[in-house]
Amino acid sequence: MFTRLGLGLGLRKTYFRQLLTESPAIDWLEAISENFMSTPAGWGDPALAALERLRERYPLALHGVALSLGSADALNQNHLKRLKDLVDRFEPAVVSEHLCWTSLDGQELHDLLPLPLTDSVLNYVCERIQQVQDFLGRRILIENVSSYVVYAESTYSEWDFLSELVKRSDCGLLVDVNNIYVNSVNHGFDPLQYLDALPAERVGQMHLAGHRQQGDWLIDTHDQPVCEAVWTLYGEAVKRFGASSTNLERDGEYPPLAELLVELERARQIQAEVSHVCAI
Amino acid sequence: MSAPSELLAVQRRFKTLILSPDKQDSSSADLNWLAPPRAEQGAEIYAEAYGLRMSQELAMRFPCCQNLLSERFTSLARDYLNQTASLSPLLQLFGQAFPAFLAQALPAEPWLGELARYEWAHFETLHRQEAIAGTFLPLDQVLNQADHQAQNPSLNQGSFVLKLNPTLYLQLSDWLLDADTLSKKPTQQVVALLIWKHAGCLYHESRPVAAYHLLKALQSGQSLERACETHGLTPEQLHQWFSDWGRKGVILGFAPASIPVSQASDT
Repeated sequence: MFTRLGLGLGLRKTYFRQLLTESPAIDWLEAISENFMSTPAGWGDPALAALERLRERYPLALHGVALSLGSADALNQNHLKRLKDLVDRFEPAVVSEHLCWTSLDGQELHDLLPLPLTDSVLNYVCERIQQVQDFLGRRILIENVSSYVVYAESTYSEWDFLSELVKRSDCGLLVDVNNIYVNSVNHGFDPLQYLDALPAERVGQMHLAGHRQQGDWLIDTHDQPVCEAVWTLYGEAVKRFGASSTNLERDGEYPPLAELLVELERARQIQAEVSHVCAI
Repeated sequence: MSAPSELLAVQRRFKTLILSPDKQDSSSADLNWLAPPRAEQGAEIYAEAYGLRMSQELAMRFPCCQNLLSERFTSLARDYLNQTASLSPLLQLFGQAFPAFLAQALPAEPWLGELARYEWAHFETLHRQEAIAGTFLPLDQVLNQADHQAQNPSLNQGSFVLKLNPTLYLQLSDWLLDADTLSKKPTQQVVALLIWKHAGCLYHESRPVAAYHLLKALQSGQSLERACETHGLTPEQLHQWFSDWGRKGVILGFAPASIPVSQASDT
């Protein structure tokens, strides 16, 4: 149902030059959509040119962080148009966004904020996803976010909400394994129950990343290597969803690119081992 | 389809909680829209993360101001954050009004607002470095393609007035990306450039050689007084420089390797 791209890396400016000059063995790249959107001042054009060069060498995914799918505000049509321009220009293999809200009353909060998991919100978000898919003319993937609060009015578990969401809106799932782990610790649930509930045939991509411990909380910082518990959970995810396209995200304390390649290799090994066991 | 009323209600509360955590009585039933038992702690994580993220964004865009203002920068950034709503989904635009804010907030130190304006202009131009498409030509090759409009020995013998087409500009910008390694490239020819946008194309004019070194000194945390002393400047001259540069555009300063910095002069 979804193209399997292999093991990819989140495209960050720290690694731009190396990617352009050395073309390291990475199967695909995932770019943050907002980093390549032109501004009123005309920024971004050279970045777009660079992305075009990378696009010639690597399959590309566009990953959005600011569409605010779950906001009570109307969808930002300017932002949506900017996204469509990018999608039309780069024809990425994957377009994804988060199940969250990032703005309200026209003000941006620049964070992936969780939603109340209720029937009315489910209907509302499904319709907005459908609007976005219609506008872009393609299916998108929706990613689960990390969170530090739970709404009192929520009536769904996160996994049931996601399952219903993809069923009703015909979108795919981007399963962030680290986010599941972070939430399982922060909110006290079994991450395997989460994985078990997701419809495997709708999983189009997975994310891996690192986090930090802050007191009793895990904070989704993306500035650490993937931890052992998340690697284990990733193996469980691969058992259930197969060798889905997997992307490694790093957003701080950037190590040499070689270290990220080692992490990608570990993901590749896990995929191979799980596939081997499943074949037996 | 309009948003469910309960969604709007909780999002308004959440927004207030993030933007104005001090106004919340978080220990009371105000947080009863969040599930116990860790609602208060969880809410604090979001509020703190917002303040940190936006302050970091300002610090990243205005490194010289941050170095010079130190703790005061943190306080000023917080004030700016409280006064300024971020209206674009593109976070990188948040600092656009910060120079004007600084100028207003620090009337007794007007050069700081000018410095911020300079840094913002610098960022606008060098934003291109974030994803440079250049072909990584050696600087000599880039300069050989430039149209040398004039030599200006009144600045110093290594100064140029250059007009570069956008492609060439990008290549030069790319070279500038390696500015920190300049000292390891003694054979490279180095120039001082003042850049601003004019009629849709980039115009480069030679300007004070010391500018780049002054900027680097400030960025590395050197005090203003020390940086001025090193470069033979008075604070009044510095103020005038920043006034000029801030209005015109951006300095990408290179000093000819053969000319010691201490000999560079603007006059």
